[in-house]
Amino acid sequence: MRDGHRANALLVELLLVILFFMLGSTTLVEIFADAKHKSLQARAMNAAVMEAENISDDLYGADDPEKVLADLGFTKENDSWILTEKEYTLTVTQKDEETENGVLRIFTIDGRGDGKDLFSLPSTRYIPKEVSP
Amino acid sequence: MNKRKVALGPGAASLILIVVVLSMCMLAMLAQVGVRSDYSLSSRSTEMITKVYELHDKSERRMAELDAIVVRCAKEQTDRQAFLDLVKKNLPEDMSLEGDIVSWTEPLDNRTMNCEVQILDPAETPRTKWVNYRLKVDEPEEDWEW
Repeated sequence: MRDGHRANALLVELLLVILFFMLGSTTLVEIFADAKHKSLQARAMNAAVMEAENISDDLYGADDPEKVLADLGFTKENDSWILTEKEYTLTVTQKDEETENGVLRIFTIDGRGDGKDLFSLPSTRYIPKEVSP
Repeated sequence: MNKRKVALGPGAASLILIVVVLSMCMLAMLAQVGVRSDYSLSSRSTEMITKVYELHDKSERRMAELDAIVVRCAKEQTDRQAFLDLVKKNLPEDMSLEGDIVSWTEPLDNRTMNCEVQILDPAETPRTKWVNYRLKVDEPEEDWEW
């Protein structure tokens, strides 16, 4: 009779332990998954910004920026150039601003990853025009 | 040979559960702290890079402004020295001219970008040329976040 009571108590305890373990592990798995997700986001941001810096420098020195973008793997969609990588997407748009004696060639490189905007880098170069004295 | 009987008494499973869950909580906490600091570092680095590129944008606009001054002065003076004197007179307050080098600084938080541009022959294109384009850190940042 006493042994039966003891076995029942042990069984109930084990059931409770399993229940609490499952509840606890559900929460912990969520925390680990969130950490992994954040780590991937940080990695994507670093990779995207590094790539954007390289592209910005390439565009600054380029005489034919469209060729440079095409060589880098960008595809033209409407007025912008898009590069889609596994972790991020880069979009380059060009806007020229006329100044008194030249043109400001402005490229904006927008980085997007995991459904949100990561950064927006401007790459500007002043190109002077010939002026008659 | 003696056989030792291993019995799992009441409460042992609960104790094991507490130890396991506490260890996993610690690991999860450490993982979160590490990842959050990595993410915050990446965000700050991206923010700073963006600011530096905005500064480049600003300095190119100043270059355009300077070029306009050079062209205007070149129309009025043909003699090189008289032309440079006129450029000096027409420069904005934050720009200075020494010889044929125009210099100014662009501030950014605790950093400054030193810009130096050489004035070339105004009859030819380009009329100006970048000589120095350097970002300098004035003092270390004191915004530690724990």
